[in-house]
Amino acid sequence: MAREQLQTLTEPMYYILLALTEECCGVDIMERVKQLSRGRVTVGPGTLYAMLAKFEEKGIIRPTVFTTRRKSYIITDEGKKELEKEYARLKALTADGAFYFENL
Amino acid sequence: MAKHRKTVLKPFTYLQCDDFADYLSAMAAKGWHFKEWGIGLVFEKGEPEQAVYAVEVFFKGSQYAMAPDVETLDFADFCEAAGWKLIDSRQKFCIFKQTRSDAVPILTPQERLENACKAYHKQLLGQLLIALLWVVNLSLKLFPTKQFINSVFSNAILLSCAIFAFYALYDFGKYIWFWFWKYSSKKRCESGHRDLLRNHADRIWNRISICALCLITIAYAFTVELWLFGIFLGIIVSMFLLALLLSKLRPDKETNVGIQLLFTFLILFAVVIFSFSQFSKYDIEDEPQTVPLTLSDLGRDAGEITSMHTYEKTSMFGSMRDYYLYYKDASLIYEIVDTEHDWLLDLIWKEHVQAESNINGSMTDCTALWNAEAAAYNGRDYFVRYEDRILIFRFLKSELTSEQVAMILDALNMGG
Repeated sequence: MAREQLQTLTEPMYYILLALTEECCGVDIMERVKQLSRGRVTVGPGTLYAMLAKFEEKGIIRPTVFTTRRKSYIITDEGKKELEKEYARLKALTADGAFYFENL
Repeated sequence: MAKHRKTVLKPFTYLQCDDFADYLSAMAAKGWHFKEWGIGLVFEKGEPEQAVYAVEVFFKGSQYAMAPDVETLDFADFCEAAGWKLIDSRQKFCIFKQTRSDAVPILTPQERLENACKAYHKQLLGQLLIALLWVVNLSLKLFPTKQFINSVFSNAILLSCAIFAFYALYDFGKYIWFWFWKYSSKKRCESGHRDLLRNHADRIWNRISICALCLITIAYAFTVELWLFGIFLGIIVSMFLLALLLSKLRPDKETNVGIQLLFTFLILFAVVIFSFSQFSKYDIEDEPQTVPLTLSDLGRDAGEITSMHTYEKTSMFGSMRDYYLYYKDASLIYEIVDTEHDWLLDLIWKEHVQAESNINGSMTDCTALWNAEAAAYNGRDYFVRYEDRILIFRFLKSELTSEQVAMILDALNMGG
């Protein structure tokens, strides 16, 4: 999905995938995203629901547990690759920025 | 005794989610709390409350869903964890009530706008398809000249054409308006506005549609035959009753689609059966005195009429009457068109006489025989034109004599 749109992940997408590096129940992901971003990023339930559906469709995450209506998810190998690419891109961005700002 | 429950009929569209939420909050402030969807919005009486509602368009919802399904309830779990409790859902609408003051918005403004526009656009496309069918239907009734001539003398067909044209324009107009609204809403979203799902135009579109339906009903009542009006009214009432039934039963989307398909089939079947029964109601004993001309008026003794069909159409443009009289060994088929519009007489004359010339070769002029503005004979049929009338006689076995013509004109009160 990232490739089809902007070749990058948005902040909410990035943190959701980060949260799903460990198995997590759908409704708990919102809290995990908040923790991982130290409160900086919040994901609405509707946004999260739609993203999980798209990630699952693209094979970036997969469901693990089905109990009545509650699903758990975990990132797939394909998803890990996407996450690593994004992490590398962000590192390159900050490195370039650090060079500029430290030499001001 | 104070009312504890009430139902309000107040329609909202997918582009009015924020108006919808405000309405629910306003009702809650007066002590009326939204409980569920029934025939309309069902409210229960309670204490006045400063409640915050969110009305969202669920992207996985179905236009045919009358109650929350498994996916909606799944979505509701996510929202409840974030401080939004699902009260009820219908079609793609989901109504949430805030349970925590720190609840994060369910969707971003961009996502809300996108979901609402997609859902609204899909509905419009369906209506637009019907509008295109109206246009095709209208074209078939008006553009081939022969069809135009048949249509122009029927108030029912003219009214139907006007209605087709109106609804085609209405649906196209609404579609164009939607694109302008979407464009301006996107711009507002980009500049940071949040409550984008508001518009007054949808209320105006709804009122136009309701007024049009009322006017159409009145026009049909005064224009068409009673049985046709009965069919029209029957369809409207049936659709209303179906909507009530579906609102009460709240079936899942598959059952809903099945019920609607069955209903459509039953209505079509009933209309066809009833229409046939009306068209075949010709009583030989009652009809002869209404027929302007029989073979005896031509001085021919052909005995009793064995069967007869008459078709009469009247509109603001005039009238067209067709008569098919069958005897044991003969028949008399003729048409009388009365109109004050020269352009229409020209069109009919050209259509009939030119068509006959093209098929059967040149026609014999017999204007003097009929003392008419124009008259032609092709060896079988007579076409006669007067100032505001056209007569057509078909399948005559022999030429008419001047005495027979005089008898015809006398029978039609056109003598002298």
